Formats: sequence, C-alpha cells, structure tokens
Amino acid sequence: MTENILTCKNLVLHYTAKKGVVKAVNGISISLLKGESLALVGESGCGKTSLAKAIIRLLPRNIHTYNGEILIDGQDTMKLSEKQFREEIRWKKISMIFQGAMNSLNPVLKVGYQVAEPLLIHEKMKKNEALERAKKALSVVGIQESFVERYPFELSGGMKQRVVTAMALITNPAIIILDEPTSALDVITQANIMNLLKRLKKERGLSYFFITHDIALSSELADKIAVMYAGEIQEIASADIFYKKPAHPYSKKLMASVPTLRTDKKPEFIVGSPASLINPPSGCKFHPRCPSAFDKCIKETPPTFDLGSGHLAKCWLFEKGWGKE
Amino acid sequence: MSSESYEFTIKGTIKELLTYKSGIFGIAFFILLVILSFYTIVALPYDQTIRLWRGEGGVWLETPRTAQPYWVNYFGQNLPETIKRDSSQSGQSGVIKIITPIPDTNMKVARISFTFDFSYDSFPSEINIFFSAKYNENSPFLNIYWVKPDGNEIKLLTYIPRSQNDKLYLSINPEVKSALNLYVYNVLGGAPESPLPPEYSLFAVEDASMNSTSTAKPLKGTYKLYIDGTLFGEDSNIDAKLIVYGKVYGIAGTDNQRRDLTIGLLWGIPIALAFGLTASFVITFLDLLLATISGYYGGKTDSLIQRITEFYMILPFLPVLIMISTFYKLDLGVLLAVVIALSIFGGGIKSTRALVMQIKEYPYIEAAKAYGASSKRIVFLYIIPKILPPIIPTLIGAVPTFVFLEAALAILGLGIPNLPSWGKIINDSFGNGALYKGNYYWVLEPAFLLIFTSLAFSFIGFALDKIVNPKLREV
Repeated sequence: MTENILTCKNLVLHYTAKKGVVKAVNGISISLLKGESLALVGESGCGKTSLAKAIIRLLPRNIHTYNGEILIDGQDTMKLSEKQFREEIRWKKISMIFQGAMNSLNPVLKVGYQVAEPLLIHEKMKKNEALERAKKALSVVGIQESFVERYPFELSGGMKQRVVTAMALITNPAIIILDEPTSALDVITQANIMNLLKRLKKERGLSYFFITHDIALSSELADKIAVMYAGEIQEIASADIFYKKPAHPYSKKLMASVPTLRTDKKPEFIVGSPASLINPPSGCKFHPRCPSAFDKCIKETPPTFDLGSGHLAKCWLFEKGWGKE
Repeated sequence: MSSESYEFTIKGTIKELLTYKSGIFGIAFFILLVILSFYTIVALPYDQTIRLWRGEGGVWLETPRTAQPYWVNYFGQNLPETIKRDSSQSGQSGVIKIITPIPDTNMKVARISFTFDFSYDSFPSEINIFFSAKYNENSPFLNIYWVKPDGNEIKLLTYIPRSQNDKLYLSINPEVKSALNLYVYNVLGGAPESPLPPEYSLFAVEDASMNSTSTAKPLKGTYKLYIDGTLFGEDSNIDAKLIVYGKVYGIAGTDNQRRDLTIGLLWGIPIALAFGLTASFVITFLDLLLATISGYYGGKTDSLIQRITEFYMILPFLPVLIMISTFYKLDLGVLLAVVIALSIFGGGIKSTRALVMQIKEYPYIEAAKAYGASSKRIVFLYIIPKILPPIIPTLIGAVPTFVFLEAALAILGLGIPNLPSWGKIINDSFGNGALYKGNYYWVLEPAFLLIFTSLAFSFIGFALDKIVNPKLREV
C-alpha cells in the first residue's frame, strides 16, 4: 500500500488557441499509491480532463507545451516514444474510461469485439480467444455473455458503461483513469456503477484516478481527494480529513455548495466565474473569488504547504502555520 | 438476437430490400442480367466470339443483311425468312439432284432442281447460289432456269464456275439482270418506270404492278430453280446451295455485315456489368479510402490529396481519354484503368473528407486511440465502416453511370475495339444510317438493354437508399 504506482512531477500541458496559450495543466505534482483511489474534483474547465489526457498522453494537435515527469509503475513515460507508449503503457499499465461512455463505443462493432479490441491490439490474440476473454470480462461487470453479439445501440446507458468498464479491465492494468464515469447516468445506475467499481477495486487491487465534479459522489470511492482549480492542484487530503475539515478556502466553498438532505442549510455558491486559463489572475489563481484573500494573494503565487499527514494546500493562509491543528 | 441485428448482414439486407417493390424489381433484373452473362460466357466463349464478330472465314455468308428480328412478324407483318436449299445434303425436301453419265464419253449430264414455297408479303432481300464443283480440266457448263408458281419459266444465265467453290450472286449478276430486264419488258410490253432489282422481277406478280418497286407484289406459291449442266470428267460432280435471303433473322436481327446481333447484345451484358461494377466499386472505394486518409491524417497528407483532387477536377475527362486512346491501344482493361485513374480523385473526396473530419472527433475514436488502436486500425475498423452505409446506395446508383460512359465512349469511337458492346453496336448502326434507313431495331435493342441494366441498378439503389436513409421511407 505504500508503493507509488503513478507519480507526476511538475506536469505542464498548455494548448495553443486563437486567443492565446491555454494553461490547462500548470505544474501539477500528484501521486497515487497502489490500490488507492484518488478523486480529482473541480469545476468544469479547470483542467481535470486535460490532466488525465496528459497522463495517458492523448494529446490534441494544438499542443503548446507538454513537459514534466510522469512515472507509471516506476517507468518514466515521458522518455518513451509514441509507439512504445502505445504498446507498453496504454491499457497494459493504465487504462481509461471516458466521459460519456455511450459515445466511446464504436457503433459498428459488436460489443464482444469491442471489448476484445485491446486484446487484439496489445496481445495479438486470436479472435476467438479474445472473444472468450471478452465474455468473461463482460460477466465480471455483470453483463450476460450472450450480449457479445449485440451492437452498442442495443444497450442501455448503464450497460454501455459496464461494457466500457469491462474494456478497461480486460488487459488487467494497474491504474484506471475514470473521467466522469457516471455523469450521463441516472442516480440508480450511478449507484450500481459505483458499487461495481468498488467491488472491482477490492477484488483486483486497482488504483483509480477518478475525475468528477461531484464531491458527493467522490466520497463514495475516494481514499484521497485532490481539488483542482485553474490548472493547479489547490489541496490534497485524505478523504477522512477533507470531508471533515477542508483547508483551502476554495475547498471550503466547494463543500458548502453541496446540497444537504436533512438540514435546512442553503447551498452556497462561489461568486464570480472560473478563472480564465488563457489569462489567469496574478498570484493565487483563486484570489478574485476568495473571501479570505489579502494583498499577498494578489502578488505572489502561493507554494504548497504541508499541513501534516499528507495534507497539502496551496494557500498563503497556511504560511505561518495558520489553520494547523 | 439474430432478428434484432439481421439488418446488418448481407442476407438481412437482401431480405429488407425485398420488402420494397423497387428492390424486388431491381434484384430480379440484376439476377436476370447475371444469368444471361454467365450463359453468354459459357455458350459463346471469348475467342469464338471475337472470331465470329470479325466474320472470319465467311461465317456470315448465309445470313441476310440488316434483317429485322423475326418477332416483328408477330406484329402484323409477314416478312420473308431465309430459305436454304442444299443439294449436297441428301434427303432435303425440295431438292432433286440427278447426274447421268453420257455413254461413250467422259461427260455427264447434271440436273439439280430446288423447289420452295414462298408465301410472304415482301420480297426477299437477296438471292445467291454457292457452287461446289469437282472437275479436272474443264469447268462444268451450267444453264440456270427459274420457274414461277404460275408456270412461267425464265432462263437466267449460262454459267461456268471459275473455281471449285464459286459463288453466284444472282441479285447483282449483270447477265441475270439483263435477262430479267428483258423478261419484264416482255411482260409489261415496255420498260418499267423504275428498273426492278432481280429479286423483285423473280418474285413479282406479273401484271401492271410490276411497273415499279413500290407497287410490285410478291407472287405466293411454289417456286423452282433448276440447273441443267454438263460435267466433264470421269469423277466430276457438282453441288449447289441456293439461298433466298429473307428480311428477318433471329431474336435480334442482323447488322449490315450480316452479323447476328444476338451475339453482340449478349456479350454486351457481361461487358457492361464488368465495366460498370468494377469502375463503380473501385472508384467509390478508392475515393472513400483517399478521403478518409485525407480527413483523418490531416496536415500535409490532407493538403496533398486535396490539391491533387482540385487538379483532377479541372482536368477535362474526354480530351484526356481521346489523347490516351490515340497513343495506346484500348482494350477493356486499359479503358477501365484510364477511367478509374481519371475518376478516383473526384468531387466525392471532398464531401467524404468533410464527414471523416467530423467523425474523427467522436469520443469513440479517442477511446480507440487510448486503448492503443493504430491509425490504420482506426481508419479501417472505426471510420470507414461508419461512413460506408450511406455510400453503398450511391455506389450501386453509380453503376449505370459507368455503363452509360462505356457506351458513350464506344459511340465516340473510344470503345473496346475487338469485342462487341452495346455502345459499339449503336456506333455501327449510327455509322450505317440505321435510323435513316428505318432499321430502328438496330438502335433500339442495345438502347433498351442499356436502360434495362441501368434500371436494375437504379431500383436496387433506390431501395437501399430507403434502408440506410429511413427518412425516405414511405409511411
């Protein structure tokens, strides 16, 4: 449980756009232990998906900067060529479940062949063999084996999600990136999928890199929470600490915005709009919206302060050890 | 399960096609064409056809020139069919051949007589006699007589064959002509308004109507032609074959070179199908492939393919083809290759590329990249199958275009030279003034087959279009 399976150091991913450089991932350092699940939360457009894509190296054409260090299972993937990365890392060590599972299935491939695709590609397996494995993988995620002959359009959203999960699992990777895996599903199906993911994690010792904008949902699965804002990680804390006592003002605001079921508390919102990734604010990126911002926040970018027991926060409030227990 | 996904299999597609009337017609027409093609290839092998179509060895000597198909007689006409009498074939009715040696000499007296019934409303088109004589030094000495049903006898000519297998063209022989002119002069008591051709004089009713070709009527009844001759030599012999050429022949008629059009029309089917299908399939698929590569890879590849396409789009098709045909001998393969080469970078590339550029941004393509699918795999397994369905009806619908193109090129003289095709038949008929002379069948038959073929593919295309574009379905 103490081995780092994924480590990013100073990961930078900038895109070129017409208006300027989009700083989607701006010097992120993050690590994931074996068997751990990390939830990456943040508002839309804060660079969550870009971070995931930077890790699995699925880059669009308009890359401006892409550097830093990524260690997957001890291997420095930034040194691998595109071909090596494709053959050795993707799906062998790290796989990904995409946002909107309904659209990530090839509409003209039968489900069985779709699930078998990674095997055909990576392990050069024979079709029949791969199909057998696909059947097993489908039954693991709770889909009847006979469904291998169906086309994606014949499945419901939840089923497609399961199929995509089966596809991510079929090559037994150590890490799975889940990019909003349940965002398009209803609550019941969401719960089913979350239970499935939990079960798989327990059975197989998988590490999840779980991207969501739903803090409540992240509590279901996460051992560790990372809060992202404007391309930077603002706070990382274990789930226990985070839900009880978030440190960063942004995290506090996020927690306050979650509606509660039984108390009479009104959900709060954060004034202002998310920071532009093209022209980010000076100093702390959150200062224009931060209720506790002071002069220093506007001028200088805060470093990451260690609040003890792996709790990290990027806020000047903690410079002198404020807020520490 | 199978019923839910059946529409994706070939069997399922055909099943669904058959739910549309146009699909039923299209498939029925297509199957008929395919059966006829196979029949043609088996029954009339390629080499034999080429020999027949070139008319090697006088194979068409015994068929009438520009004869209409025989079935025109079912539409109230009574045009003569070809009548053959051959003395070398024993036992043929209407043929008597007697050869008696003259005692104490090495000479023989021969008498060959042919009788036949003629009960048509029109005159024959030609009359020929083919001799095969056997002699040592001196050719036989023959007198040829013609007996009409009313008993009038005409001596046509005295004839000495100049070779073993001589041909006597009665219709154009000057001696016969003058003998008949004299005969007509005697019957009418003066010269006719317009000189009657021999086949008219031989068959006409002997009254005032003989005055001109427009009023002359054939006399119905039993005619007789007999040859009295003297043969010289111990083992001398003579045989003759009388052919009274009709005005109808076969299912399709004949052209000006006496060739049976059936052969040309039948061979047109496999040629049209092969040309249309090959051109359409190859062009559509290469188009698709190029467009997908262009759209998916983008960048320099895209620019290159797009610039080539634009260059090809302004290239004039016909002049280039004419230029090529002047430098190279065209045959089916070369013609296909040239047409394909000139058409692959077509306008289709532009629209398909636009589609590909849209599809390549779909999440499932990104997912495929994530699980390590190579670009080649994505192009062939993810993008092309996705854009294929709407292209199939277009592909089928494009077949007639290429069938017509082949015909049009043949009419322009850019056809396949050695093989008969529909276009070439139309070209021949055109060159020989078929429409001016009233030989409509010669033009209409290949035209009908062209339309039939095009209908077959268009019907299938319409039905397929309804299947892949459900919006077009009637409610």
